[in-house]
Amino acid sequence: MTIWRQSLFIAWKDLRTEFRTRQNFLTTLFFAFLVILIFNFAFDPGSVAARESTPAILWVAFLFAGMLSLGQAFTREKEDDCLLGLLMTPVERGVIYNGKFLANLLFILVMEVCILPVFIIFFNVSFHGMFALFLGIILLVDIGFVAIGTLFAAMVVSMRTREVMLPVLLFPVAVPVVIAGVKATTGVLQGLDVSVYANWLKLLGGFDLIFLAVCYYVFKYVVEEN
Amino acid sequence: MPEAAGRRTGGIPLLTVVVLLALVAALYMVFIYAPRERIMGEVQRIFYFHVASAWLGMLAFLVVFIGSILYLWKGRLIYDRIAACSGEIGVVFTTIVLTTGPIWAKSVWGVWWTWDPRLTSALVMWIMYVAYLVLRASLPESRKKLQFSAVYAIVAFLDVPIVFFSIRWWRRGMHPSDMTIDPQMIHALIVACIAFTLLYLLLLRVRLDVQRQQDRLDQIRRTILERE
Amino acid sequence: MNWYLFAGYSVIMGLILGYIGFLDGKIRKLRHEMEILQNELDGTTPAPESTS
Repeated sequence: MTIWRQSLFIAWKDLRTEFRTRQNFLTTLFFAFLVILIFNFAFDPGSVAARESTPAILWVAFLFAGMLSLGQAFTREKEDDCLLGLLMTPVERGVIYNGKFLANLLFILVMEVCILPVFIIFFNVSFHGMFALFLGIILLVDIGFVAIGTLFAAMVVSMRTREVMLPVLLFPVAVPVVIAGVKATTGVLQGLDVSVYANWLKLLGGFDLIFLAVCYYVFKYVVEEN
Repeated sequence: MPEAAGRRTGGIPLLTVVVLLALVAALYMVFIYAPRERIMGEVQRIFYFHVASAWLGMLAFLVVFIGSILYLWKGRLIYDRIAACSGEIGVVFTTIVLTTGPIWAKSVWGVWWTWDPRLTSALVMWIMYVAYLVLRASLPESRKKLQFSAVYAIVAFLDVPIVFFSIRWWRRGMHPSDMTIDPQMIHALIVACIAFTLLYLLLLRVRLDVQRQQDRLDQIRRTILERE
Repeated sequence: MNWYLFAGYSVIMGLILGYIGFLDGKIRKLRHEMEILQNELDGTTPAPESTS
């Protein structure tokens, strides 16, 4: 119980810092918006190709924007040795991971909810009455992506090449999440029966569980000060 | 001190002879003993070393995984070195898979790349371990570097089966299932795998020796710097 | 002569021999650096002792 309270506290601290400036949030949001816009120009709007690749465009926008915000998550801590202070608090390393994970997850979810109307309007999306499931898929993908993303972001923060290293480390490992996310959202947007893409939901759930557990345990090795 | 560079190489000449003999035997099996495949013809003879390389890539990455876990657990330098050297060799052999695959595909199906599940999984795996080597190369030698790369290797290896399943569901395979398999082909494949495994052991052995010398040199440099 | 087969085995050989060449280069470089260090040490070993 205390672990959860402590985790929530760290997450709350991060979100409050973010809310004070909103700078990071707004730029990320704008970036996601631009990605969607650029894809609209790249494809002929209304064409079959554009309609079929709608989920892919959505996920490219979400994950690229998500990666940008993950990169920022620990950079802020690096200023004035905030991370050191955080590490000196009497909590387990895993709790810091949980807190960071929750903050990043919430950040990305809010960003996505804000960008979703734009997406729906631009691409004339219809959810076939499965909007809740659609949101559930987004949540499942984000949990997996943020779980490994938080770990890797903590790793690259002390590196000079962090802007390049984060995608280099993150995207190969995130391949299953991307495939599953695109496949499941395609199923929803085409109005297919859930049983057709239930496999992908299971895969996402499995990925989330495995990597949340693993990252929780190995996080202590990536934040040790030495 | 230069003579010391030749130290600890005991066993390598013997292993080299064994590897060379095994490779010659494998080549004999592949090119003369194994029959010509009826549908694909001579090109199918790429298959033996293609599969042997794929097996070796997996074996090498498994060693990286185990070495990384042992390093985080026990904290001994040698486990990290084994992981790093094995990762490098694994990338070399996965590169063989990724280059011979398209050559074979081109001659059989007329296209270089088919996004076939196994080939695609090998590609993703290759990218992950190149990222592992890039991560190692971009960090200065420190405990941090060893821990980071161990963590990444563990996450990456756990991801491999998930990648494999997701890609298999994503694309139905184009891998030859209609290939005629003779017992002789199986024999040739087994010998090729054994030969490559021995080659892997030799390469790992030599690579570790090189690494050990490198570490010694760095150690001497540090000592000199401290004394000044 | 099947060119694809030839290309396939050339690539396999090339990569393995290339890696062995890479290792050989590393060994040579290490030897060289070791020698330089040895020479330096031979020339300067007395210095720290005389100053301290």
